Amino acid sequence: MLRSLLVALLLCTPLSLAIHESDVGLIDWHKKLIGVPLAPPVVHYAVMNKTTQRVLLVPTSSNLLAALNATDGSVVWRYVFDDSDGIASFHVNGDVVVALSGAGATMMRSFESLTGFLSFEKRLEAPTIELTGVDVIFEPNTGAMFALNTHLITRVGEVQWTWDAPDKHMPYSKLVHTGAALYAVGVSQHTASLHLAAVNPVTGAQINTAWKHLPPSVSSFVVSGDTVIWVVPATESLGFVHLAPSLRESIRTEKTLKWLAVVDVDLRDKELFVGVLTNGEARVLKVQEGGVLESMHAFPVNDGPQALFAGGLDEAGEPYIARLWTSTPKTISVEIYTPGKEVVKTSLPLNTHKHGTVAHLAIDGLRLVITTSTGAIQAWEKDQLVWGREESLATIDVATFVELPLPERIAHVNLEDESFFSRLIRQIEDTQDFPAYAAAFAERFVTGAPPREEVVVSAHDRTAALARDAFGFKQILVTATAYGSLFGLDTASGAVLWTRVFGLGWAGDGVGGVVKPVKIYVVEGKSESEGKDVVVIAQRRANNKLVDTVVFRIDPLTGASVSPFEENTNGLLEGTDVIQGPLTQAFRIPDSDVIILIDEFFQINLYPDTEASVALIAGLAPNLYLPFIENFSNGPRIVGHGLKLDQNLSDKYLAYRTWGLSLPAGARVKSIVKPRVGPVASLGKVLGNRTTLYKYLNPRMFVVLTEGTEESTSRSSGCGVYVVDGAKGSVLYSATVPVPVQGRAGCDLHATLTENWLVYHYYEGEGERDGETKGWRIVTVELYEGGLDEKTRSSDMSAFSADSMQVEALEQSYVYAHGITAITTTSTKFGITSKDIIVATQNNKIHAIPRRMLNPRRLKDRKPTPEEQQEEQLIPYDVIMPDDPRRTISHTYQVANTRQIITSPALLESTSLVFAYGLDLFLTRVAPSNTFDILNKSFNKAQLVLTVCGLALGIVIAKPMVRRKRLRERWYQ
Amino acid sequence: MSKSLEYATLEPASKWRNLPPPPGFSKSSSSTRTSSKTSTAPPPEAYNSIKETRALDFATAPAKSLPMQAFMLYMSGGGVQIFSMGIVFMLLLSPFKNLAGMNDAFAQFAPSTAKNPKAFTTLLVQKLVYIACNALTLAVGLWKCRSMGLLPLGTGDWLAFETRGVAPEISLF
Repeated sequence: MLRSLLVALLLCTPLSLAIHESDVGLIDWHKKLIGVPLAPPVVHYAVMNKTTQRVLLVPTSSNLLAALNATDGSVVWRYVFDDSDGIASFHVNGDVVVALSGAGATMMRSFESLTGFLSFEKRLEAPTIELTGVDVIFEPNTGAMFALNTHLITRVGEVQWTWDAPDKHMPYSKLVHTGAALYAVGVSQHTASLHLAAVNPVTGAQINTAWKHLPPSVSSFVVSGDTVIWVVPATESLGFVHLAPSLRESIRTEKTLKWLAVVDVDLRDKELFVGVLTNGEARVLKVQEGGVLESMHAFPVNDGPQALFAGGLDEAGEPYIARLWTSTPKTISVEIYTPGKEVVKTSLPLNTHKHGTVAHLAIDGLRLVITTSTGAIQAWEKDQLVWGREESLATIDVATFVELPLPERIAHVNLEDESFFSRLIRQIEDTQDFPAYAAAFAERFVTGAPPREEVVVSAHDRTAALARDAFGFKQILVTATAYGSLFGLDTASGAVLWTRVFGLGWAGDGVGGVVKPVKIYVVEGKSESEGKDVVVIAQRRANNKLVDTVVFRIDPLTGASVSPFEENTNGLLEGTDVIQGPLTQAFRIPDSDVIILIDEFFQINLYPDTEASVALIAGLAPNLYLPFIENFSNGPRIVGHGLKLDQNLSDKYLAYRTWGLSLPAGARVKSIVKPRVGPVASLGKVLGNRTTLYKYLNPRMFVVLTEGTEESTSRSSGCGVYVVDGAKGSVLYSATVPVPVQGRAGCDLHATLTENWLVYHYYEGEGERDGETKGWRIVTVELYEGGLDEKTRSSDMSAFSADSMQVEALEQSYVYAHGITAITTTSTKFGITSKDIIVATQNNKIHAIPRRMLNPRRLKDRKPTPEEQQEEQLIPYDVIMPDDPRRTISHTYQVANTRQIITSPALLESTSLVFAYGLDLFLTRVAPSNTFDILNKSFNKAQLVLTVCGLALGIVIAKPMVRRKRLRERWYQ
Repeated sequence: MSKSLEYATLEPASKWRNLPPPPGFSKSSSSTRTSSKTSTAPPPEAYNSIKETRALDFATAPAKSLPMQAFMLYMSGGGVQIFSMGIVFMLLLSPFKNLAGMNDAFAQFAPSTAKNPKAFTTLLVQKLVYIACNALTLAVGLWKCRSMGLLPLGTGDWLAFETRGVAPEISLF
């Protein structure tokens, strides 16, 4: 009884490690992002609590629908769709937002526009042919809506019906609702015809269907009021037809001007649209009664290519139409037209080298909302930036922590060559700071306030020099995104310190292309100061299909390029082309700043390509092994490579195949999990009886995850986890876990490996084993050199030694409550602190699982002895990994769709920085073994000081008294 | 101030015997009685054998206190606390302290025939017993240390001193 109580108590102690509410926002930050917009934001007004609120509704490439506050750009709500449920379109009316998603766009969801509350979810009938167009329109006053999906029209509301086109091959793409009828309109280039259908909006009865012949080149049209308008490119004329229930109206044309295109500016109800002329002029057009096109306004000829148009209504219902064009590379001009008012002309001082070019335009009264090619969303009022969001941060490809250099004052002291007098002078100079330091120390000591550098607020002060703080919590996160932008983030506050956009090198001059970051490394800086450089290795895909490998070397403090050197950071970030061709793999030589780049011919290119790095490779080459995934005709395989120099073939080292990992039939390589390298504090695990299990610390181990192929989804070839020796390809540990869904390929395996510790997570479906429930499992595996006190010295043993295969695996599995999307371990400076497993769960939280809970020696048949509890903190085995909410390190934040978690040591051994990225960004600090190296916040320093002072006072008072008494004793004894 | 008994005064050869009596104390008045008693008094060899038994008692004294100490150890528990640490230190230190002062401590029991009362060879048997008893105390102390987990006996205690070199092959990831 007492013992079980003790165990329970022991179990409880680490649970108090949960994040304190007072720490939220101080030790962590969270950036709620929405992703890069796919379409122009829709400005939407809605009344809530008697005040009109404006929101911007945006569908994004991260597969979500978001509402931004138009005033300050904050996220009002967002709905993240499942990966299998891609958003197809969304439509707004009143306080309702309707989104269509999923395969065939059959899933209809309706949200409240200001809160994002889901009001209903409905699966519509799926079209029988390929999707050609979806549209939703709302019936005025009734709240009913009509959804068009290729050949089906569904009325959603009190009265529900579905109309199916008689001819399934009529590709309707737009719905028009007039008082008289509901029309479906579509253009088919294949049959060169305009398809129309008129349906009774109340009963769903078909009134008429018709098709009209069009010139074959017409591919798109706009609807304005009850008129359908299109441009005939061949004759540069406008064609339009009025919609009537009989569908008998004939096509009219307008040939007086040369038309290039018609643009829908979302002013269908105001019967306004924009026609663009071939000479660059643009007209705001309105269809008048009797079928006459009237030009309301003429935008003059613009002096640059491609203009963007946007239209919208302001709060009073007045229409606004804006045209935006780039005249010269730097100037972005805008004209805003309102019927009956003067045209407002302005220019946006948008730095295209920082934010890219304008991709979408939306108008909100006189305020413009633009989205850019690098994924930024910005609101401009005249030429003032009101707010901006960097949404490409939702698409981070690679990220790394960079430790800040020491403050300049300390870093510049050259202790070795300093003469006595200069040291004296420096120390006298330093003493002038002493009173301030002493005051600060006293204040800190008495009040328990943290050191000033640690205060997060100071991070918002951009003028403060970027220097290392006392505990190393302030670092720089360098992140490169899929949209070709590079960000420097402050880990203390999450503030964006600098932004760069990758330049395209030779492809920049008219060719165009994209730069995709592949790897990121932190290397020692080239300059004399102690700073570090960040090397980003990227692949540039030019639009002419040429692929090059480019290296960008930047200073993480400013974002400035180090090589090639640049004066200022106003331009695009240009790199160095290192390989004229795609990159196969990149590796960094440990304990050096040399990076190996393998090109498509398996030649080894060095970066930096200096004599020192050539010499380094020449020395290491015989013992260097490079395992990586190679794609063969029958799928990817893990192949190990050695290095050799053959002067006949090339003057560069070549990677030649040394081994291949053979997998069971029907298994296919999915991914490699690299080991998390860090200092190893202990070579073994000491048990309660003082014996040792020596860790199998083979530094060449890595993890291969496999999945079953389509052909063989039998039970035997499920998802595999293999721990492989990188030098000779031998499998040190392997496990096969069942596929999540019986009879279907695809695995949901996540694994992490550090030292000798492997943790993996998978889903076990129903009916795998008798008496077991389906659910997620987390498995912990520890590899040892043998039994008790057996050692083989695995960490410095050759891979080809016979003993290298002597591995003993201890493993245990637990039921885990959540599916996960990313897994990693914490990392600390010396590796003494125990490591927590950090996972990002599918319910948008970040959890930390303590090492103790994942100890594979947890006892199943007996209770741990006091020695075992004391030495190993061993606890009895429990099949369920408790889902303790206090282990949630992300507080109440929704950290959605986390793809990757990276961790970095701080200067404090106890603390590790954790950065999770995916859709959202989240950074926090964790102390797996508690902050044993700093005093607890609740430690009462004042009490300590008072006690010491009290004792000192007591001594001062008592000392003369005692002396007098002693003297008297001697006299009167 | 030493509280040990001066057995030396018992010996006839003692230098104190030849001291003149203090003034006012006559020697003759008592000498008749004493002389009659001295004839019945045991010979000096008997004193030596008494001293030997006393020395043996002294030698086995540490062993006699052992049960009490064992009880105290048992009561102090297995935890590393100030009380148990104090007892363990006492147990570990006192044998060494005793052995260091052994020759001095046994000098008082040295037989009158001994040339050098402080030599190791005098009362050798008793001294060996004394050493054995002290070793017993030390053993109890060490046993206590072991049960507290303070003795570095397992490989786990020496793990921190093991070193490993660098593996000959390097695998890059």
